[in-house]
Amino acid sequence: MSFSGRSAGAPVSCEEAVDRLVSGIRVAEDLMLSQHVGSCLGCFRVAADMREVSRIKAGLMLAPTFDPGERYWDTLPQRVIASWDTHVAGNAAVQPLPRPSLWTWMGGWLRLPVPAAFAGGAVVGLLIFALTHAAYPPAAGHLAVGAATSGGALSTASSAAPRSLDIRHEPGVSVPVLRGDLALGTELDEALLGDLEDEELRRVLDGLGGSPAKDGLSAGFETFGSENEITELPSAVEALDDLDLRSLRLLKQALGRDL
Amino acid sequence: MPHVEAPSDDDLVLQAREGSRPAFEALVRRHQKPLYYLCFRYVRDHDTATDLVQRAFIRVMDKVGELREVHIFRSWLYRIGVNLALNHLRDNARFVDEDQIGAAEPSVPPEAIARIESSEDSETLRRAVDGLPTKQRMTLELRIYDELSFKDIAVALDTTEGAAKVNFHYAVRRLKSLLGVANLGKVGSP
Repeated sequence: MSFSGRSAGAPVSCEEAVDRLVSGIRVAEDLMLSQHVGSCLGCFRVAADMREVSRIKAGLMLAPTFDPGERYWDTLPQRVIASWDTHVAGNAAVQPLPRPSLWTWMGGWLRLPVPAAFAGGAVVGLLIFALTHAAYPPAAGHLAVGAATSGGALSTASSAAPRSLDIRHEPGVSVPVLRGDLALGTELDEALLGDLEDEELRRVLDGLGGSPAKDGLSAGFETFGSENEITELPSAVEALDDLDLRSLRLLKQALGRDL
Repeated sequence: MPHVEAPSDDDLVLQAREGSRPAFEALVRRHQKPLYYLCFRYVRDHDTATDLVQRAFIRVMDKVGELREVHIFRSWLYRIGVNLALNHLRDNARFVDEDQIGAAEPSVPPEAIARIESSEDSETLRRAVDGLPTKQRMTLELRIYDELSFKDIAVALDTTEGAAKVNFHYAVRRLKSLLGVANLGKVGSP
């Protein structure tokens, strides 16, 4: 039986052979190892290298060794323990202070001029942001009247965008009225309507109550009257006069809901 | 009188972990010599080696609670010693006098040097070992002086057992080529 307990017939790989040789197993102690070393040049060289270990060890042990003396070894443990006591006492003396709370920490930090200025700026910025975005989506009565374009399209940009009646008005240019841009929460601005020509207002109301809008004006429209009541008015100005603010708001809600 | 067995390292470590001062002192007494010589081989100065030993044991006591496997205490202690010694060498690299490496230590009292059999060849061998790459040198010294297994060397040097074996083989091969087989044979021969 071999030294390592390996069965006699099992072959030894180079990796195993090197591992055993470096671990200190002698070739003579392991039959299979011996056979492998005898047939493998690489492992033979490793075995030759390892034969020098005992000589290297003997040579190093012959070198003069410094000996501090028995007294030194007797006293070293006491010195180590004394160092340990000093170390522990030092650690106890510099116990970390309890961590300040977040508010304490922030209070101290904010007493410094630069951080305080930054913090103030941040608060003002947040306030401005909050104020400018508080009206989003636009709360009330935003009837944008802009410069005209040929064809005067009402903005029907996207369904996601807040819808408003965007009548691009230019004198002498017909203003086609498209329904559906009155959003919920939008109020007809009487002043703006007043700026429109009668013809244009009529077109607006025609657009609201006319045939293109007929399908869209449903139940909500009927709450304050029939669609004929609007479309049959003699003029747009009269129609507006007859519609009080509440009715206009209801009209707008109806349009918004249906669209 | 019944023979009382000395407590094992494992027992002493467990007791030291609980704050037992006698256990700690016993551990120091048991391991002070090899640790001292381990450090001394690097720093070549008695006072520095003593300081490193003290620092190593203090670090051991500081961290012994974190040592999960108490049976590797010895390798762990050597690892701390090696790291401290290497850190010392690194921090004081500019002050190292090249001529002093491998030579007699000025801080060592002459009378303290043991009169062990000495020869020029063994001194040459010592210098050759000092010239090895750090990992190879550490592996060789831990294997030869402290007779650690490659498994323990791997723990002490924070490497793998296979890498420790490779380093050892390379160290031996390099020494063999540096000094020549014949010279080594002369050193080792009785």
